[in-house]
Parts: sequence; C-alpha cells; structure tokens
Amino acid sequence: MFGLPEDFLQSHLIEHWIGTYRWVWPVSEVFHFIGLILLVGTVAILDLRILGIGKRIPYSNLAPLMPWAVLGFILCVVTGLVFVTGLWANVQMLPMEALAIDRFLQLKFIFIGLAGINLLLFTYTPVARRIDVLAANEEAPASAKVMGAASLVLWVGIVYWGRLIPWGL
Amino acid sequence: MDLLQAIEASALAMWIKESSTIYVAILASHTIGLAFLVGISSILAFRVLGVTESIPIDPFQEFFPLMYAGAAINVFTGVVLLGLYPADYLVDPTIYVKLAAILAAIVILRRLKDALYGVPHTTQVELSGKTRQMAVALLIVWLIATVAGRVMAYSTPTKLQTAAATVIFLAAGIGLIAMFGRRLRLLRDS
Repeated sequence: MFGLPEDFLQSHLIEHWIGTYRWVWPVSEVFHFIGLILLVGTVAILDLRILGIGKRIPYSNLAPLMPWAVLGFILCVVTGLVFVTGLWANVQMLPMEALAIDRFLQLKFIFIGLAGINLLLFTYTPVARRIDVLAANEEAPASAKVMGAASLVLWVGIVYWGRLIPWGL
Repeated sequence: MDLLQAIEASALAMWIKESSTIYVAILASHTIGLAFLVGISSILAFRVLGVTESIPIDPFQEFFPLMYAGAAINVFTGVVLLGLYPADYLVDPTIYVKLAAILAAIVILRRLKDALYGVPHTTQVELSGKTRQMAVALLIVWLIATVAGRVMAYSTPTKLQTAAATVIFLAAGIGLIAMFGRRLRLLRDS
C-alpha cells in the first residue's frame, strides 16, 4: 500500500510488550481515553466560546487550556501508535493491512487531517489574531464561528470513528 | 438470572445486537458523551485547583448544558448497553465499581456546583480548601470510572494489573508535570 513495505509501522518490540504484559493494551486504552477527555474537553470550551457560549470570558483568558489540549493530543498519538505498531499481537493483522481495509480507521485519519487543516487555517489567517483579542461579551467574526463549528464537528467525528475501529478490522 | 436472560433475549436487545450499525453507534455515542461530561467537569476541577486560574468561574457555568447533554447521552446509551448483555455485565464486580464511581462523581459535581454557584457572587469566587478537596475527589472518581469502564472486557488479573499500572504511570506523569509544568505552560507561574 502506497508503495510502502507491508510491515511498515510494525514494531516487534511493542508486539513483544503487548504479548508479554497483558496490561500494556488496556493501560494504553485508559491513557488514550484520558488524552481524549483532555483534548475534547478543552477543544469544546475553546470552540464554544468562539460560537458565543461563555461569552463573558475574554478569549485570551482561555489560553492556559491550550497546553492541556496539546498534552491530550500527545497522549492520544503515543497510545495510538502503541495500538498501530503492536496490532499484530492483538488481532494478528499488519498495520498497513488494517489501514487498507478498515474504513473507520480511514475516516478517523481523514477527520484528523481535516481538523489539522482547519487549525492551520485558523492559526495562519487573520482570524486567529482577531480571536486572541476577543474581549468579554464580544462576538467572534462569522469566519471564526465557521471554523469553531467545523472543529467541534470534526473532533466529535474523530472520537466517533475511533471508537468504531475494532468493528472495521 | 432468568430475568436477565429474558432482557438479553428481548426483541429490542436482539434487534440492536443484530444491527451492527446501531450497536456501534450507541457504543461510540457513549464515548462522545463521556468526553463532554468528564472533559468539561475535569476542566472545572482544574480551574478550582488553580491550574487554569485565568478562567473566571462565574461564566464557566454557561458550559454546563454541554456537560448535561453528555450525561444524558451516557445515561441513555449506558442503560441500552447494559440491557444488551445484563447476564454478563451484572455478574462482573467491575460494573459496580464503575457505577459507584459515576454516582460519586455526580454527587461531588452537584456539591461543587452548589459551593461555587449556590450563593450570589462576583466573578472572583472565594475558593476554599473544601472546594479544592471536592475537585481532587472529582478527578479521582472520574479516573476510577474510566479505568473500570475500559477494563471490563479483561480477566481479573489483567484488570488489577491495569489499575496498578495506571496509578504508577499517572503518579509518574503528575511528578513530571510538577517538575516541568511551568516550563511547558501547563501550570501557572506563582
């Protein structure tokens, strides 16, 4: 697939850990969920403020949430890599094979990509600068609201498709 | 036991189980509800603990309806999921740990809400040691509920090992945040 070797992303070390220590997979699941809770909780609050909920809060006051969203994302990526690279130890399937057949995994990656593009558009257009100075009771511009709504929908979609991945294998 | 088996074999339960689309949609909705309920209430707890001190407490209650929506989704989907395999779930002590933790979380959240918003106040709310204790307790019971929910499909030794490993990794994580949190902007400068 994509001209990559079929064992691309496969890690025998992670497989060995998962096969030897039964707790590695469920602990990774627990921390994947903790990451998801941190990420979705913070993203929801930031996006809802842009959409006009919690309008009495100046947007800059929500800035301390950003590092926690990043921490949540890092937790999800690291534990997600455990699932992907050690997949063989759990379901005897290569990561590239799973990527080729699991439509839910494909949808999750598409949604993550779209959320990334949305974030880049938000950050590298004048929208972010206008949002950063959003005062209490001030409405966000319509373009920012569209991006905020898209972000919320995409992250809900990422959680939704992610939960369905085992049923697509 | 006969009643549980009758519920498991009921027409509604069989219909949901046989329709893979509906079953997985209920399961996924349960996770979305959890993310909103636990995510937003955890950020409230962070705020009470002073981690995200710049967020004014009073307007934060405008985010509560989303938390309630998450709770409503989880009660509905949780009851449906429990009704699909009650004979399996209700003989597993883990489900009672999860339910007790959720119940404790709801009670603590209610008391925290009353303590923060029960009396008229300005945006500068006086945070007492008691509200901070409630915030810590809320994070702990949410963690217990999350771990219990994730390990239900595993054997008892794996459940116990997972719980122990989670506590160890989490303690290490909290230690790292205490050491490097200010540099990483996770904690405020004080």
